[in-house]
Amino acid sequence: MLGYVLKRILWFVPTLFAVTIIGFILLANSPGDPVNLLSNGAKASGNIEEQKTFWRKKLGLDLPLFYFSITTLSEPDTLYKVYDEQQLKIIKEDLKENGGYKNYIPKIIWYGYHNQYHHWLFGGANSKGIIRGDFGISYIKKEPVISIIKDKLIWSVFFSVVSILLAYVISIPIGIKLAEKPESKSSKITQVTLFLLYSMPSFFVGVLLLMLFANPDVLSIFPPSGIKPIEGYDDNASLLSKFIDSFPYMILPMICYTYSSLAFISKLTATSINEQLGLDYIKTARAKGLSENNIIWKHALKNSALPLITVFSSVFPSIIGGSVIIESIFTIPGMGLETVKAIISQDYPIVIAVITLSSVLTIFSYLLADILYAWVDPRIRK
Amino acid sequence: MNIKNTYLSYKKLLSKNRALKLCLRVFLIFVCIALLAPFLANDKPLICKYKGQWLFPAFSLKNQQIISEDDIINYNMGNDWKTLNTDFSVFAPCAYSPNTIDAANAPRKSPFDAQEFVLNNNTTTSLPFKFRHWLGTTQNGNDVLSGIIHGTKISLSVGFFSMLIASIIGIILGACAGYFENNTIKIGYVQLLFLLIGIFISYFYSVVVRGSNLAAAFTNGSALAILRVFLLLYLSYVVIKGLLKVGNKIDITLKTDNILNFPLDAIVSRIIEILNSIPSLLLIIALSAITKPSYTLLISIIGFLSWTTIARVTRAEYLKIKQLDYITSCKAIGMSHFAIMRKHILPNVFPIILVQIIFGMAGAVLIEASLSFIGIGIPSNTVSWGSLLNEARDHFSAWWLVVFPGLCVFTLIFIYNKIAAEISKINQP
Repeated sequence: MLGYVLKRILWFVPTLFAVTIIGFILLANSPGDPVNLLSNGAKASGNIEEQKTFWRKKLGLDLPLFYFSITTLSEPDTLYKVYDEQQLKIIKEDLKENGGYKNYIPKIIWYGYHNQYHHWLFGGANSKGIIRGDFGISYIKKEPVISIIKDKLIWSVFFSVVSILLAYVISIPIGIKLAEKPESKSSKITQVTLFLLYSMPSFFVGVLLLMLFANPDVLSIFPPSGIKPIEGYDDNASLLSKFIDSFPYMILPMICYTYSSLAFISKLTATSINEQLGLDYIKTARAKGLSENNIIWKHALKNSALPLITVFSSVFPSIIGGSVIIESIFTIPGMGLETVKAIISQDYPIVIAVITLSSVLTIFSYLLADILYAWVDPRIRK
Repeated sequence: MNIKNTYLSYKKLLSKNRALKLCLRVFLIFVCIALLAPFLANDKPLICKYKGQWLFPAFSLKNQQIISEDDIINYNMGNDWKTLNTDFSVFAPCAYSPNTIDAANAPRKSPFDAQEFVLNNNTTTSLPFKFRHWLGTTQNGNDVLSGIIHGTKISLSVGFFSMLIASIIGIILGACAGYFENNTIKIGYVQLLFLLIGIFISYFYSVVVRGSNLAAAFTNGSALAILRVFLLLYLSYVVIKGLLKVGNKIDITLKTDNILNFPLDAIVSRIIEILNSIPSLLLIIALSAITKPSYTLLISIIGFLSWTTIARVTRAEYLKIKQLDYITSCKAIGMSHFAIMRKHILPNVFPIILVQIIFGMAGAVLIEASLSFIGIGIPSNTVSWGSLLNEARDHFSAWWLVVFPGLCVFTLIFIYNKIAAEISKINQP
């Protein structure tokens, strides 16, 4: 078992690398010059050039982008040292016009490990690198990204994990009911309802719920936004009382997070239990005189757990992605809302940090699914 | 296997399914609305007679019409068409364009409210029946019905074109991965070297040398940009194929041919795994945030990121079918791999892939609506279903801004899902 787990973990390392490269490409191509943004405050004091060099050095932007670069023969080796975008554009146009045949001959420049990607990933002079949880500095708040995200991560993970658990708890019994009497009227109605729910876009459901249940004109049962009372928690409140305070705020978002995966999981439960019910060991169990409940819950469900576990790893990324929408509807201070805010204020390090972090979470959910899979079905670990 | 026969029996099965037929009909209505949008909702009259001259403003491509020397009609006068002194005029069923501002009914008029109309002499009367805002207005006084009609065009085209891109990539990669697996293609050392050189050359000449032109094409939002990407991919394919042929010749003379297994399946599966481990909605949001908002870009981003499910299903089906006897007999009579893949496997597995493509269309519609709902990556002046719903977020009393656009998104996604579910039911009786 341990060998299998280690093998799976090793298998995920290249994927993790690829994910960080994608994140870095996004960051490097984001529009606007972060140095300009960060040194904005220095405009009044006058030493703007000094500030710019300081930030450029601090962010490591004076280094080449990657370990190597593929360019044309006409391009000089040290072109990355031109920081001004306008200047760079003029130089590039000049090269294009006067380069002649050299524009069509490839050249590979090797920069070594003193480059932006290496420093971003493994840490360098001024950063610890994302491998140690340092995602750089927010362009707007000028604080480390990780300290901004840390509290937000907890809310997002809380909502996604609880909603997945809720979805399983609700839909497995539904799936079993569907498998027991597939032709009955009630199960047909359930199927249609689930299918309708599945097709509902989450933002529509969110706004509808708010319109119906958090609207003074209709029903004002739940608070419309946020996750805790406006005046905050009591100073020395325990975790439980905090939870009770926040409970009414969680209900509507939780419905939004959960409803769409209900159809998927219950359908899957129904089909896989149906498959099991046709097998011989169920006949034996019936012949032994076990009760129908016992057969389904104890014997059939255990053997149909495999596909249910696989679903877990495909539900998780969609819930993380969906959090962008749901969190911005209900203004939950999670990663999704932070992403939207960061995109609007062009604070790209936060966006990239969220993408990288949620990809890592997703990869770990795949890993977890693999391990659970092997744990449930010993045939898999060879 | 007689393809024509299976196709006919398939068609019979389709025509028997009543739910599917109903869904297809509703879908057809959506398509008609999308195609006829400029004539269903337009602030310009379809026909009008002005000072003895017949004009067709809604059909005209011009911006103005000279009536006499000192009287020039500007076709883009928006809501002023309604108060223009015409002898005769016929308006579209919904007499507003999505961006027409009707200031008289400005902040959010409900469909049942008394709607107002300002005449030429500045007197206010109630709105004439033919100009009524049937589904209410938004904050700025834009007509909701018109926004919904024009939004149909956006939603349908995002779903269709992005899945066109995704299915081209997904089917080709999935079919190759499933058919060739890891041990069918054998290459020699020189060929491997030439393959790497070919990839390098095509990367260099298409991205490094011409990359700036491509980026410019995408920022201009021209649809030709997508075509250019595919053209470059095709040219790279031709270059690499040529190099591989030359490499093969050298390999044969050096006697180093057919030594290595080319792990095509492993490579494709790896790419799929990497793409699947990034939450796609987040990646699409980030990509559309760092690029200029445009629909061409959004369509290509969705297309280039969501081919993985199609590829996975295609791969699994090819793996299954290639073991059947009729494929072995195809090989025995000397058919080429490509012909077997295209003529003898694809027609049999296409219904199964089609299910995934239609599910993908529903997903693309959902992504577009979600993005325009949170207002990222969409040109700010375009009205779509999501952007209408967004207007309701701070004003829940404006129920018509929630219900109508939301129902449209829901109906379209439901229809796609239902069609896909019914087809897959027919596939596996």
